[in-house]
Amino acid sequence: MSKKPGTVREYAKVVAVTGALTGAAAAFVPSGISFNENRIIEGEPVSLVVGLGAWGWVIVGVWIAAALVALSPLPDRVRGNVATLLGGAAPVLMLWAAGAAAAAWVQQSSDIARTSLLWASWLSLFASYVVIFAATAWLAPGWRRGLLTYLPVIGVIALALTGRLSQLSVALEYANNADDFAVQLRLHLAYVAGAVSVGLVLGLALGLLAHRKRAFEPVVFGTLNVLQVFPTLAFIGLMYPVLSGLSDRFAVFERLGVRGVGWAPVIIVLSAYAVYPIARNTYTALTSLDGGVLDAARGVGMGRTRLLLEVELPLALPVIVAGLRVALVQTTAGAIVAGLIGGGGLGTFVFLGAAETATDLILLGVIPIMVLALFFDRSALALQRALQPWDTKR
Amino acid sequence: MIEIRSLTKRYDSLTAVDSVDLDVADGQFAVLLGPSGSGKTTLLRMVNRMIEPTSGTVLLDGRDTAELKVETLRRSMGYVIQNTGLFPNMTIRKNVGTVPRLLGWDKKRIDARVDELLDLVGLDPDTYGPKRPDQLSGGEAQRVGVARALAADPPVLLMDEPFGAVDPLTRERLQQEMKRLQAKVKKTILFVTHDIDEAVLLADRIALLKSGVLQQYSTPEQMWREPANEFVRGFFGENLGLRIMARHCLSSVPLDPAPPAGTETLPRVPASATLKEALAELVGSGASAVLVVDGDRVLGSFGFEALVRALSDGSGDSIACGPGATAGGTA
Repeated sequence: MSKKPGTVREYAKVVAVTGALTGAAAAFVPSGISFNENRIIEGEPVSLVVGLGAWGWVIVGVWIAAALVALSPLPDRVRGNVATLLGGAAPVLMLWAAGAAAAAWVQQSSDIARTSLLWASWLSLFASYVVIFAATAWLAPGWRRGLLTYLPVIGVIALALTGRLSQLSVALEYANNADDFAVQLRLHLAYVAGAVSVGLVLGLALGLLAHRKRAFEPVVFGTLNVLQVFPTLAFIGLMYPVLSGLSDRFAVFERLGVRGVGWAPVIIVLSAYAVYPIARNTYTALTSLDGGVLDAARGVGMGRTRLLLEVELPLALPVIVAGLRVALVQTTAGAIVAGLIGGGGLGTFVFLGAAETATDLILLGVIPIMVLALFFDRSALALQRALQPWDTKR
Repeated sequence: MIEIRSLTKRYDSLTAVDSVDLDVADGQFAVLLGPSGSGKTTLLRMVNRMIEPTSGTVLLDGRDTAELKVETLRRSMGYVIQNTGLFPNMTIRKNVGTVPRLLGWDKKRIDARVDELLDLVGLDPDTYGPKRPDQLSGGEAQRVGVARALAADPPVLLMDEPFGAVDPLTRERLQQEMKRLQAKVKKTILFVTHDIDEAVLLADRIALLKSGVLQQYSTPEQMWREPANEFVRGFFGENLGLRIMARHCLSSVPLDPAPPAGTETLPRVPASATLKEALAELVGSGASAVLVVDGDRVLGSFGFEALVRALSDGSGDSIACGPGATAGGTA
């Protein structure tokens, strides 16, 4: 791959500095951290510089250093490496200091005392993402850059595994629900896998149908468009009588656990949403293939099936995977709804936490969903690039 | 042998190809020439049934192509198009080996054939084989396109403006290579172009089309001397004579005996030069004739009279010029 154009690298400066200054500013926002008497009653929220003491100021220093490095006239490679490291170090440092402060608060107060990270803390994680994203524009792609980017993730995992974060309220919520968490996480993943598989099969089939038989194109995408904008809960509500009726009338559905609530409507609704991006990308990819290439393929004597398997699909696959990527991320977030209608999954914690006004229990559901979504996004992107080895010039 | 019999293609009110009859003998290079919209590409594409004719037939070695399975028919004809149509997802090796793969050849045979073909079109198999089409220049890609068309050694080659999208310098080199290649492989070729120079340079016979109607089908020399109608005369314009001179080499025309050594100092021109180049030398030097040489050996002399004789000779054979051409004529 060639170097990014100079303007992108200049623009990245603005983005990196904005990110770093956001991180620094977040440390002064009074909703950084709160030390609570117990799980439900929230204490007085304080800023990170107040709550973490000297370490709070060190974190501010790291953010400012990152901004200064981004603006410095250093060579791109040095600038990129140092800014990525600093941008990644700040939130790891913040989490470590917060973990230590939480442990101290339990010592000082009582066993049921809790320490919650508030929105300004989470904002600094986002700021870190922005700084790293911008700083990588100054680095050549490759495994070095990849490793550097994921260093903070490794750092957080290391902190968690060594118990440094165990007194933070989110971690305590996890500890209280560890068995259930494993079950719900698996269930959540099963929903994503099931719905995206159905979406993939139907999406490919419908995309191909719309491409091969143009008369179907408005029908297919008209229907999918309507489905796409239909509110999830209304959808589930409409299916309720149908699904309950099915299990009332046919024993086989009852035995499978098909009811108006539970897993069945979840899978159906998520699948319906997952079809659209895959079908749309399949159709677009197939219709925008180079006419000369298709002409040549037919001209050398490829039949329909060979044309599809040897030329059309390989060329369309990267775009189809881009659709799969959207479906994966969308379904991972969308599967929260299962928690609302007795289907389980990570949404369980979200809605339970909301009912109990236990913010950290909500986070126990939300954080893994975000991590999963990011993981799927990155993996699908990597797959997309691996499937397009001929696009090496860009 | 391709025999086209009253071939017609009608689209609603438009008749793209109007009852064309055309024979291309084995080993002949026939160029379909005409302005845009003259139906030349439609005619070509009916031969491998990329377009199905409205009426009329195409016979391939006496067999009606409409009776063959369309994939079988196409696999028996090489097909080269303007933008190469190389498969971007495949390496050059795989691109060239496409038709043999479709025909079910074993891997060893395909590999050997691909090496042979890349060599034939002047691309080193080890360097170019593993590359992908986007890593090639326009000229290289077009060579690969030709190699792919030749892969299964089809008797017939269909070429649709194959050199239309490359720069003029590359185009000229590709045309010369095509000429040399054809001298070697002797395929039956149907070649579509709107470039008069290209047509006159490459064709054994030119089929000139206008609005789907065949105007004349003959050698460029005949078209020059006896144009069938005003359209043909007007289409080629004033320059056809000069273009025809560029078709022939000094080595392929009768020469006059050289004057005894020492009597006159005449400019020397290699036997591989075209008649057009010899004419330029005659005019430029003001001499009465040039000495035609093959290295140091004097083959004869060539003056205006010899030029007139060569052009009125009537022999329409196009013989490849350049280093590969054999020295002929009278010494």
